[in-house]
Amino acid sequence: MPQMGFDMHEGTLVRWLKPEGATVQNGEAIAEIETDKAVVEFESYASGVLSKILVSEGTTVPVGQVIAIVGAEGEVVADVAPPRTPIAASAPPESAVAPTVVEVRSSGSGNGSAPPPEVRASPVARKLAQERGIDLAQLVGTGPGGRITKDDVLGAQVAPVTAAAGPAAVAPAAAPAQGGELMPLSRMRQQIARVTVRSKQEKPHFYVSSEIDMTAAMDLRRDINETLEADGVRVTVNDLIIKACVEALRRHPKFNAILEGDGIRFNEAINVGVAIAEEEGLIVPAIMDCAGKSLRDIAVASKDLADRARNGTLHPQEYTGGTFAISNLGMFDVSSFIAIIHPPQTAVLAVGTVAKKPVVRGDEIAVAQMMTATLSADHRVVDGAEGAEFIVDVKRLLESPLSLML
Amino acid sequence: MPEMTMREAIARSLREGLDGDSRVFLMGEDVGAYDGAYAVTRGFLADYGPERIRDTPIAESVLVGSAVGAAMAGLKPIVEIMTINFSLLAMDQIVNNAAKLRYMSNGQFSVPIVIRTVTGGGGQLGATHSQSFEGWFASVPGLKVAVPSTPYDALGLLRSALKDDNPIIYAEHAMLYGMRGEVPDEWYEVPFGQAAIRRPGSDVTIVAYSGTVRIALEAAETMASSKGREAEVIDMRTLRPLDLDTVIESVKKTNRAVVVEEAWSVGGFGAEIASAIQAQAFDHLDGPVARVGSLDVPVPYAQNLEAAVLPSSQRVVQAIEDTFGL
Repeated sequence: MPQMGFDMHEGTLVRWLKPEGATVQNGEAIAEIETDKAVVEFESYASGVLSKILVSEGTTVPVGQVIAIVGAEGEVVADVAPPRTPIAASAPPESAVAPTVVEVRSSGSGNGSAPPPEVRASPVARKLAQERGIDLAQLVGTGPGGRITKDDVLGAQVAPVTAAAGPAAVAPAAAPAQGGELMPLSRMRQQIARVTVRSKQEKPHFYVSSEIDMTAAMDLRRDINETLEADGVRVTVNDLIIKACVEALRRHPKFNAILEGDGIRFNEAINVGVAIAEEEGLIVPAIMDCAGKSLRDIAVASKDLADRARNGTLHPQEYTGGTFAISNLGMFDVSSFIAIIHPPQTAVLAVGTVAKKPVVRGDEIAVAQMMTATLSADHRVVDGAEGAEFIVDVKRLLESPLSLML
Repeated sequence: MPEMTMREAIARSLREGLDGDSRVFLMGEDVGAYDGAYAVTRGFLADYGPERIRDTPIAESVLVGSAVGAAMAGLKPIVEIMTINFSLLAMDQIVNNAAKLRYMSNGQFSVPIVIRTVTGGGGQLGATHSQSFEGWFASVPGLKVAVPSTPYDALGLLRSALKDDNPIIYAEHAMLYGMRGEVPDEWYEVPFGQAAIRRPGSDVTIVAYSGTVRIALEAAETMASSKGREAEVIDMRTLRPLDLDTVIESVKKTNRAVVVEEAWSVGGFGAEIASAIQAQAFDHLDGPVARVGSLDVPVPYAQNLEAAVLPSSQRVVQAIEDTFGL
């Protein structure tokens, strides 16, 4: 069972795409696996014959368990170790050496009485973890012998909103004094709790707002959509905002960077995350490589992203790869709000609804389509003046929207 | 760019040396009438005569000792020791005389000799004729050691060697003489102490030299095609001086290293490189430095056993998987 998020502990085998005995290629999808958040296609690590399927459809098994064996043509797979005990069972003794410390902590053996568990991590993993403030004890090593490797730490750094933290990750509230129903937190809520707490704890947020006249942008959007109607492509207000942000990020790359140790790491790609509300909570998948995309490309990509978010077929890198994010509550008729930065990103733009308002043009009062946007930014990376320049660039781009077409 | 074999590249450089400097002469077993045991000096005797192309008795100590004397007296001998296995007979002359005289005479004498010799196994020549001792020489201050893996380097390194005032061990791999590669007509030299990145990659650094460069490149190809991982292949080109900077820079990028040599891993020169990596890039490592070398037995004669004992690309790929989980 592959690990598709740094704190994913188990996964459900939804469907085998290949039957036993089928020939499979390295990189070919052979199964669909459901994580806490999404159904992801699982690609074979090796070429050969799918000799044996060990986990039946609908079964949930822990990360690391063998789910199938790919062998050479004609190779006889005789005795395979039986699947390990289900995840709910108590931990087997050998897990004491594995760095899955969450279990040890919640064992209730008293405060500080147990010696700290050994964490096996490579030197570079330790260095990266220290630089990024990541607790190695919270990670599960995927290297030989359970060693925590560089990839494990990097996976944690860009932790997707896909996998749930253990129950210990969310500080328990004081016990309620009275009765009343206790609804357990869903995995997604736990994860949102963990990520947002972490963001607010480590990132000194500051906020810059601007009112943006969207009249020209709305007119342009109407014209574009009339033109593109035959293609079945529709440009949304959000697509225009994404495009404006991409242009602004190009001019102000610090807002597309992440704080890393004593430095600021500039991301080469611009991957704009889009907050999508779901029944249980919120996900922020990213539209990858926006820098080279036209407005039309972005419209197509964002529609595709939303569709795939709905049917749960997003790629893991779309959960983890965002370099900036946009949260849009315009459809709810809110005038403005402020958003929490999605770690490890540096900024997020929160936009409210577009509504007709009286504005002063010259010395006249006129009616314009207005929208308020609020930038949240990490003060460790950027300052208020830079935030102002960024959001004013977004404003200018949206108020002269033809510039987005160039 | 014109192509030529390793053999032709070495011969070209030797001829350049003979043509360009009257102090240069060749000396060795079968270099003259027999055209060289590996046919590198074919036609040399006819072109340059017996004064400059000297066949010697089977007496390596005498061969190197007289070359040291000639070098001290002002000539520039190029000595051919038929294989590195026979260099053991000349060890005292190489290590105690050639490597020391400049130091012990406080620079009054220098010993500008080039000792060409043939290293490596793979040709079913048995336990006494298939060994790789270049690493032994590389541990001796006062010597320089070249281990070319391409015709381009074979020519460029030999040109540099012929300009050098120090004794040089120039190890030609027995299995590479027929290897073809591009060699420009224009003059160039390959300096000692400058490794080459033969293939760039981001996931693991494979350090190799001489015959193992080909193995490393095959392993990198396998890593890319079957695992989607990009290996960076570094060819050391010379073992002394040793270009650790290129290795360390690469490991800082890839975080993983495997050192491949044809000598036995036990006490092999790869241990020196592995040691330097852990000392200079410790905080960048994602696992121990892996090593691949010959198994800890004499090199067998039987073809299948010889193949099993010498390093192979499969063993490199396996070492990467075992050590790093890639």
